[in-house]
Amino acid sequence: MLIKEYQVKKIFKKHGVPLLRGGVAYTPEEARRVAEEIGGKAWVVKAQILAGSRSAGRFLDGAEEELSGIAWANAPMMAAALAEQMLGRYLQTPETGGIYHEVQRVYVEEACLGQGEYQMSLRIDFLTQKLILTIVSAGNMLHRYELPGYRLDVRTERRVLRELRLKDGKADQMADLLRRQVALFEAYGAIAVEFDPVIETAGGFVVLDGRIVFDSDSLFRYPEVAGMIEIEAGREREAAARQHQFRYIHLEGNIACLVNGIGLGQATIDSIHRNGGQVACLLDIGTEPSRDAVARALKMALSDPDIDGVLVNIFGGITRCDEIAEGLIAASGEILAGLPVVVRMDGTNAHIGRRLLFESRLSFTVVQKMDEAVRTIIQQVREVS
Amino acid sequence: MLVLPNQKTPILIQGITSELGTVHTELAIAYGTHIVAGTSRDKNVDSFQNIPVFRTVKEAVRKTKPLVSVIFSSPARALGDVEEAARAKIPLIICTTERVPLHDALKMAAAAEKYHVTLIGPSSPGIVRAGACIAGTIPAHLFPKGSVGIMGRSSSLIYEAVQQLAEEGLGVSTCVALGAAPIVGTSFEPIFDALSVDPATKVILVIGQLSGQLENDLAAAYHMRRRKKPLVVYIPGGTMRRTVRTPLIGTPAFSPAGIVAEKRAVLEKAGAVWVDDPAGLGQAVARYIRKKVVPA
Repeated sequence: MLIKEYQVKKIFKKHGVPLLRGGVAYTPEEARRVAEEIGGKAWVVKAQILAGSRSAGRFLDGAEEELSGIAWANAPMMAAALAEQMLGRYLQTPETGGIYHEVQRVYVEEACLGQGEYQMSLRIDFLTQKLILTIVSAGNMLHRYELPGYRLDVRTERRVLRELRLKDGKADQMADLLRRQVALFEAYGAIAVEFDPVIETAGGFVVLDGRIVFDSDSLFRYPEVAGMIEIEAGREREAAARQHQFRYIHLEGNIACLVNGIGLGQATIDSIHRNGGQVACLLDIGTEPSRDAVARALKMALSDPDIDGVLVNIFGGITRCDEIAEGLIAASGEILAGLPVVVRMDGTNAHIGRRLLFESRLSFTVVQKMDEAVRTIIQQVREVS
Repeated sequence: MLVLPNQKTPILIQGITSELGTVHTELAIAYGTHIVAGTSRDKNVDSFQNIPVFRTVKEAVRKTKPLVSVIFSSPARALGDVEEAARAKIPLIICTTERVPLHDALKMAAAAEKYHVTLIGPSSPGIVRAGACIAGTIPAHLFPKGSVGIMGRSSSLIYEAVQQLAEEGLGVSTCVALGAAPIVGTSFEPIFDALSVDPATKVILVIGQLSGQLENDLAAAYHMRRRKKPLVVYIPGGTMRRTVRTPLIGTPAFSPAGIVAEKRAVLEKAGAVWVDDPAGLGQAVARYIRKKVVPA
């Protein structure tokens, strides 16, 4: 989970990360005021969206061919004019996957020319389960280090400074920056903390931008961060699902899969694809779903215009199939009309669940085996579409 | 070496008075599991179903000498509970807690390593030895007794596989489910080693996972082994043909199909049997048992 640049910088500032002077603005007038307060001769106005590569971004219906998500201003009035052009508009960048994000805020920062650019990333590597520090230095040299724990050990520190060819004052500054990065990573239980880019100025290293990737399972410890999390454009369904204790994964076909457990879900996807169908999305209600979560997941699938049919594949372990059936029935009522819904249930209390579905007299097709369920939904979807 | 629990293995339940702890302790006792102690933060509880309940793991270990601890606790407390069990040197710790913060999971794994104990989980449904014991939340009533050893990640897909085995007239010796969490305490190797020497296990079925590299590590271990039991593997998600980009520095884009293809290549090279069709897991194992004349 990500937060926007101005929020990241607020956290960076609290942890002593060297930044340029800047501030957030909601209106052109505020942008002008921020520029004046900062002082100097030039400023950068940055659109605040939950995605990177903004300088390569483009606005929707952009008359100004040149305008990207990051622009230079030579006067406070120009900062205001740029803010005027950005605010309320929609921006896409190479990282937004074709989706436009509304710009509700801009960040105005003093402009700064530097050299010796670095990208510094500290993250959990899920393949090795280690903490990996990656630094990209000038000329795209990639340096990779494994940290022994939540500290920058002397050996790694010396290796980094040697390989980056930093000496004396600069070496001390870089070491300080690295220690602050590790401290931030630990303080927020983060998946990743990135300083990107870091530039060298007359006054030392400065972090121009960065990101913190938060772990959604640890946010209960950081209510101040939880309060900053916004729903990303194009990810409204994921957010709604999370709120109701299930998981939504978007794919690109026309069959929705409602399952209990990610492994069974991916297996169901494999089975549908092998049989010539295409999966639109995975709705994973997990191992202990509430009736409400089941009902909301099915409703989400049925109300999606891209979906031509739903395959419910439940294997009850801790999950009791009768409770799932009750959730499905609660969701369906009137909206089931038209769309085929095939329910496959097996495992704990499956016979009770199947009986409930039969007795509901709703138009579920109830089957017992996975391959049969897959063939049935593919056939039914072909018939309706 | 990891010793798989049986009906005589003394087991401790940490969080025995929690909602899930209560339910699964009762199911485990009914199945014949040898539960010797529980721990609870509730100061008013001294016993549960005639099982002594202690305030600390240390005390429980001193008085009842458990060899396995099964942890039922909240995400916020799971790390503390795992560390407590590790410090008490309980050789096998199973953490069932789901949605544990990633940094806590990393610290759990580190604690297990420091005290030389095996941690299964977090987010693990645990272990079942068919007809003998349940250590965790696995619904043992779905597991007919037989000769197929199972190790896997996501629980519901494991249960699906067991159902398919049952339809082929096959049953399970021991099943160990690591759970689908991104950070886990143990890899497949120690379980593979334990199943390899388990006389009840004739064939090993692996239900892998797209993410992580546990299957790659297992392939290396399987490759090195000389006299080996047949290893039948399925990894879900290989037909998802989209490219995933994490815009983090130094992390390349990847495709699920590419990852599964790579895992398949190393596993097949090591001599494992690959299964493509998730609806054909039971048949694949059955065919293999018949072909190789491994006694079922």
